[in-house]
Amino acid sequence: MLDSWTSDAPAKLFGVSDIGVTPRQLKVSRGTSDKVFRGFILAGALFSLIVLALISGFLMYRGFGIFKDFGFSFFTSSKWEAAADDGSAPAHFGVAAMLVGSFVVSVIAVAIAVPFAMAVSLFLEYYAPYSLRYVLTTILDLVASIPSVIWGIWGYTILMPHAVGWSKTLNHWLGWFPLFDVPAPIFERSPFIAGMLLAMMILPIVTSVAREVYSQAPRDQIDAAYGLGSSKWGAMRTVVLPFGKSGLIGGTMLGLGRALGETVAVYLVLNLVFKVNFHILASVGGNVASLIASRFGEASPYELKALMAAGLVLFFMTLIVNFIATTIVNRSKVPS
Amino acid sequence: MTLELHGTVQRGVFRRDVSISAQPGEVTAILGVNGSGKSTVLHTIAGLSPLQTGLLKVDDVTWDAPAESRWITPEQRHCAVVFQDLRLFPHLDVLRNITFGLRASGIRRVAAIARAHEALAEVGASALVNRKPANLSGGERQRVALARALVMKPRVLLLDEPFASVDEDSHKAFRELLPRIVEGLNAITLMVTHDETDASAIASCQVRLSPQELP
Repeated sequence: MLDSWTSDAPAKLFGVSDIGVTPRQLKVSRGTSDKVFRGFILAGALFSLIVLALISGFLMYRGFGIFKDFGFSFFTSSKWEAAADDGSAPAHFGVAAMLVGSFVVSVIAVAIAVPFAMAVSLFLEYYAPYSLRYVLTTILDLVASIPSVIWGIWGYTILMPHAVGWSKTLNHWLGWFPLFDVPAPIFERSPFIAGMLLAMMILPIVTSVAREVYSQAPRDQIDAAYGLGSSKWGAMRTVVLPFGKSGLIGGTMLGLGRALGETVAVYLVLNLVFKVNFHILASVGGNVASLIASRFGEASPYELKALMAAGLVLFFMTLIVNFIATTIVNRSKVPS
Repeated sequence: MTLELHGTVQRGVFRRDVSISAQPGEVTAILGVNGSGKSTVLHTIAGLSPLQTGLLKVDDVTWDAPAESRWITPEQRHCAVVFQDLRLFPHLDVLRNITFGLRASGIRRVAAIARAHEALAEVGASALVNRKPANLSGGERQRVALARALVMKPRVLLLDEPFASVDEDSHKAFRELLPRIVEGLNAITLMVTHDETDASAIASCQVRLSPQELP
């Protein structure tokens, strides 16, 4: 059996691709092993797409009624109230506060994690002796495998008591800036603390990706920098960091994806309040995933639909982040 | 005031003994067939590959002496290298490529830019200042690479097959340009080449490396 595909490579080769000449159809006969392998990887690729489609279809099916009932206010309202049992108050659901909360906590996490990840990966790849590199890499891999509930407990019992002090200091010195201002002097379970915890959780994945791309920085370009009298840091700054930029953005977005979807850990260290809040040190916050986790067990069938709709919003938010990441990565590639 | 390199150089599995002396203000050509270790010698002088045995001294300062566990970093050597494949930074324009070394050595931006313009004028490449390496021809890249090294006013200028990527016309132009530039620089200049004509035309003394078999 013959497969066929269209290739404009020969046309380009002869410089005729721009003058309206239809490229010639090339035909090739594939061997059995080639066909089997092709089918196998095609099935793998399609399977992941099908799973994605099924998830979004399920969420859309279960949550569609909510979008119909509340319209755009589902995205703009911060109220989340189930209907009263006696029917005296109607239900009202909106995810604005949780969307903003997800965004704020994730941005804090990324802002803290990325500089650390860059420093750690540069150190591991270019400064650390081999034995230390091996030990630290193993530890990082281990950290990546810690379940999020453990992170949450650690964050609540160990990190939070310390972080409250740091929050107070930040508020004391930078309280004039709205971001660090607090309406009431309560610093526990704030977006800042949740962001710090998430930063630690995403650090291994971002570091791992950054290390991988930094290790592939062209050796001859690094030597060129040394050959012009550059210090090691100069070579890092001029060659390694620009070369790894797109990969680092990709890694950051992977981390951001995890941060957006993190549930249990955030739930334990963040005070779920249905109010849009940009004061990162205040004990007010939330994210979509922890909203679902906190309400799921006792939700009425109608509220369950609202949670499904919130899940769908989170799903698309993550897809959009990944789409933006891919676009940025493609645009920021350093020419070789 | 000379460069003295006597000892064993090594890069990867390649290893050989060399003995080279060079004087400032003149060009010393290092000749030899492919695989004789010419580039390895330059890499060793620039501090990109450590000397295995022996001594490397410039102006009576020891740069590399394994027996004394002494090795000074590339940034302390005041060298500038023009690599065979040029190695311009692809993401930086010509001006930033040329100012890179100066900025790395702590020279202020304005002064670095002024010197970069001078160096570009010297090699006849002033018009290329805002272009990226991908948009330069082979000869233009060669000029930029040369300007990038010259702008440093190095104590030791290392040229690895400096005419390797240019056409015949540019080759002739460079053969005339290079001695003039080097004369004004008063640097210790080592030029790796396998072209006898280039060596005779440009260099005032020659070091010939015999072929070396890989272990």
